[in-house]
Amino acid sequence: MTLTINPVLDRELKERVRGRRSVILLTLFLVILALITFFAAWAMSNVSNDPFASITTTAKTGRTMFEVLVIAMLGLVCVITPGLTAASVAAERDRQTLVPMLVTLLRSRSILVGKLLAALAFLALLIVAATPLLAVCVVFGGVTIVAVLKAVVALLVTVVFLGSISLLCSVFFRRVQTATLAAYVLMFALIVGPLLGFAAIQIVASNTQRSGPRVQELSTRMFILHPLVGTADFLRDSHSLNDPNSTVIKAIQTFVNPSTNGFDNGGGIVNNVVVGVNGGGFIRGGPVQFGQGRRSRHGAFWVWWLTSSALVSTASLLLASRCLRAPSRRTLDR
Amino acid sequence: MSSLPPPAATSLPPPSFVPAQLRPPSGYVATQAPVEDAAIEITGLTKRFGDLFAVRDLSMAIPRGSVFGLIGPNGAGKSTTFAVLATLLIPTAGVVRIAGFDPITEPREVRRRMGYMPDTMGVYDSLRVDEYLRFFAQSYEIPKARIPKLIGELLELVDLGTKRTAMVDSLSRGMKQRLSLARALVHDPDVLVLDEPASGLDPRARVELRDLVSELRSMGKTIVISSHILAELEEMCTDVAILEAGQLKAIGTPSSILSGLRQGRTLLVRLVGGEERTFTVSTDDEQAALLHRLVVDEGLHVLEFSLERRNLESAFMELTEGIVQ
Repeated sequence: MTLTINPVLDRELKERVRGRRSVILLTLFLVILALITFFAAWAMSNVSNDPFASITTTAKTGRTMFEVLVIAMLGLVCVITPGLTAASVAAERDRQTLVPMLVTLLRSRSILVGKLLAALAFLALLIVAATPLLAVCVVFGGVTIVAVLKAVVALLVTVVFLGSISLLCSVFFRRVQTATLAAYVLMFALIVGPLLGFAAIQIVASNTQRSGPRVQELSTRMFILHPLVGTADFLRDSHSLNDPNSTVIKAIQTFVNPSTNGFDNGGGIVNNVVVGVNGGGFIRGGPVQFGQGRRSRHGAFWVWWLTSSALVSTASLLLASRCLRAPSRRTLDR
Repeated sequence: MSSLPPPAATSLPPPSFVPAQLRPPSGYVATQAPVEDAAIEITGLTKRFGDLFAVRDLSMAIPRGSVFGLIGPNGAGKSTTFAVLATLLIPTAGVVRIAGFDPITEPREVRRRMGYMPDTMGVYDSLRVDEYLRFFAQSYEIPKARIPKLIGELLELVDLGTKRTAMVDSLSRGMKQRLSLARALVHDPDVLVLDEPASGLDPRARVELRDLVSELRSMGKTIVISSHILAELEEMCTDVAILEAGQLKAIGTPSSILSGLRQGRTLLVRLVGGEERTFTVSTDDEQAALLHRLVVDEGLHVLEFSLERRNLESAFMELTEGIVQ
């Protein structure tokens, strides 16, 4: 039995591996993450005189490093994915190779899946290459192997989600620059938009004193596609340590909802947004003990996040597939 | 046709000098004799982009095994017609059949039987020549085991056998064009549609391309080709069609177009001193003799009185009006 590889994927991988850009990108990715890990450990040493004095403090250091790394990787993946995928089809159009490909027997979805898999393969390489950094956190304690694996899965889900949307932009817009810009605008809207919307709702709710389950549910729904919040909820149960002082997440909470004092009053992004609100922190922690918080009647937030991300990715690919070979389009593609 | 202002005594008479009865009837009706074995049939093809008619009510049949030239100025509708044939555009109206298949309802069947080379040279620069062809062979679902041999044969056919492992980036423009042709041939199609294949090529590369087209024809393929270099098309094509502003102006063999263009002939009169002028008269020899006598009777010093050879280019100039859409 011979394994048949998607021709577009095969070609894209060859091209990508040959380019100098991949090596530079991989090196930069790892250097940035290594620096972030180093500075996280250094910051922890400033907070505590001896971050490795006891098992508890070592585990706390490991967990903080893990959280910082996951957030940094998510950030980098969000920045890199649209850049890699938004140009894929538009670039074919730019270098006049799209028409020869469209007149072959390749189906539109084959072309798009090949392109998405090629981008995914490279981003998976980045994530896998950075996994040893995550594994270092396991050595410190405070983080389980399951948490590391879950982080990798969450990153891959984010890559597929953003990649599919960017691919749609690539098909829809003719020029590489326009497609890339559109993909970044969409990505920015998906990540920053809910944060702004959340803040606005909180302000309106506090001014009108109409805060209740409905307002909270509305806030929650805005984050249904948010990679950071989705990842946070996905990883929430994976820690081996219940530490209420997750400084990194506390900072995020304060940024999102400055009217609250982070974990202390149960406010902030996770407490207010995650559907399975249980009072936990970014991953686990917070003043309300794990398992003691409220469970949403709709189920865990991460399930909704994964489902909606999968649905949006599929819909984007289907739409892109329809648009790619639309022979009635107004002008000729070159 | 030049018109220098010579001394009055030796000046040629103006064109109106030719009596009206000598003027040939103008106009050409673009009709095609029925084609029994057509590789491509186009009936009433119309493609509109908003208010603009790129192609308007185009009907023609391309005989199997022919080299069919599509001639027309920029914006004549050649590339739009090719895009419809290549399943890239849906026409506004009309019916198209390629090897019996409809490109709208049976695009995959058409793609299986047709090789299309667009007017732009799209190649993947970071691939090797064999990798480039392998990608397209895989895209045309050619069995994996057959691909290496096929690549070798194709590269020999387009005279790139020595470049098998060269990077596409390192090829000259002519070589890239031949590689594109090899790509269009990778699935051994019955019909080849080549849009401006000689564009941007040097004279040697053009000659090589012309030889290649002849070779492909001898292999039994039907070739539809467009070019701005009409002299080349005249040599290559068994049939031609002239398009302007999306409409068919003439169709047939090059010789039938030339003979049917006008019921007349063009005579060149050159005087001592270099002045020359052309006159279009009917094909009747008596008319030519009459013109000769009239010129001589004027007392002009005639150096040359000859029949101007007509070619596809002159036919093109005569049939088209330079309408730009």
